[in-house]
Amino acid sequence: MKEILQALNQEVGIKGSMVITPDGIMVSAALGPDLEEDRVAAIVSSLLVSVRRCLSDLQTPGKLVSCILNAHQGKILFFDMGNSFLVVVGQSDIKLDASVVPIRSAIHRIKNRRVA
Amino acid sequence: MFLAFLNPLRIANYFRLSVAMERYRKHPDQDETLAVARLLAKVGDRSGALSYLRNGRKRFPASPEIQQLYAKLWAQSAAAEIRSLERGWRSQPRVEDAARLVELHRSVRNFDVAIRTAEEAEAKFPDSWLLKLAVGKTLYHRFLVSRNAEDGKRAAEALRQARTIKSDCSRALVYLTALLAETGPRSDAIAAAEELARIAPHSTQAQSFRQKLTGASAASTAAPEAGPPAQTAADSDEELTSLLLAELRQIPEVCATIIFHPDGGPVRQHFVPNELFAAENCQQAVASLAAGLHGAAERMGIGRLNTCVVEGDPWWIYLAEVAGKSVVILARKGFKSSAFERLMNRFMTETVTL
Repeated sequence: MKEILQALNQEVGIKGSMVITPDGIMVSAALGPDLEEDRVAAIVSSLLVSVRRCLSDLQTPGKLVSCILNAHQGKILFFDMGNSFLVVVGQSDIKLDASVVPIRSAIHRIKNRRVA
Repeated sequence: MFLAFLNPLRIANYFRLSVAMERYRKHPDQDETLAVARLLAKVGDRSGALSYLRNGRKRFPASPEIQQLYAKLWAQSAAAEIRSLERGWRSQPRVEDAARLVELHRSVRNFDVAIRTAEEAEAKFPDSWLLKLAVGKTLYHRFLVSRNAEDGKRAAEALRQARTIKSDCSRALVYLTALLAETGPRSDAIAAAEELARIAPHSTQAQSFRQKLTGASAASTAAPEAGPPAQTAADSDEELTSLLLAELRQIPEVCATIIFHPDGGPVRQHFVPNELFAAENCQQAVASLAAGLHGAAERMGIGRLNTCVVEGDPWWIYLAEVAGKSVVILARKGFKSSAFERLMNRFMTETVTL
């Protein structure tokens, strides 16, 4: 799985990526030197809690697909992969349109790998 | 790393902040506003501090302490954003960044630097309405300070050019109306106000301009010494949020829009009964989500949150920071993410508070 993440990180604007379980346990990570694995996992996990609590309060049907945070100095993206989440940390100027294809491809490869 | 969080001074500041916020909720007076803003700045949440001060400026316009602290924090915030935008401009020039740079220099009254920046950017993007608008606003504000007729003339020219390139640019008309109300001729100011009311029928500012100008026009016939209208375009963030809400109301896929202050206090909202989002506790739920998203961005070290898109099946939740407020849109799948981004980009680029 780490190879898939490392390949994804080669895309322009992507600083690092990781796979975590819904309760924030890291499955695999390929983050840059300035990103601590435990810290990113903890932050994304609390983010997921916030999103889920909001969806529960709003009694929103259906499932969460993705979440993209666009901040002044970077972006955090996470995507539901069934029983885990792919987290991508990007630079602020990352082109999301161009990155969607490699991200979707990475999700597909991770899911297939799991099945295999 | 955890030692940083266990810093006793930091813990003490967070504790003091929670006490101050509780006191502010009970008595949102001038002293409590200042206390909360100072503590937010101490714990590193400058944008939160600015939001409290922005509200404070409206409620206590005569308070020099609030004005001074706001000016100090805004200058720091603008300087940081200017540095970041200048780096981006050097590596990948984008007209939106240039316009924002001009606006930021203008907001800290570096008028000459703002004009110079605009001239450099216009060499690369000669037909940008955003740059013309930014130049027009800069010259308008310099005119208000210096009362130099040449600035007024050049401001009007730049604002008219912005309108020529983008005929529905209501912001250019807001500034043009305010400028013409100051410089005259009054008939041109009235015509600009009428045009503004035509292209932005929901704009309360357009109605207000029209009333004041036509009222002042009638008064000036009876009493020639009547002065120019007092209204200017300087503080029109409220107007922007009204326009945004009016635009969103017209989109059938939008189920709800909630606008609130960073402390969770409601500003405005509209809700259309629907099967995707429950109305009960809606404002509280999205305010808590916004707080979570802001916290995550800050802890991650990626700076101030601009927008967030949560995609579900079959719905979207959008969050954006506009004019110091959080705007959350709950929508059906048909409302495209790109439409949201275009809408928010337009409002954010046009929004820099003085």
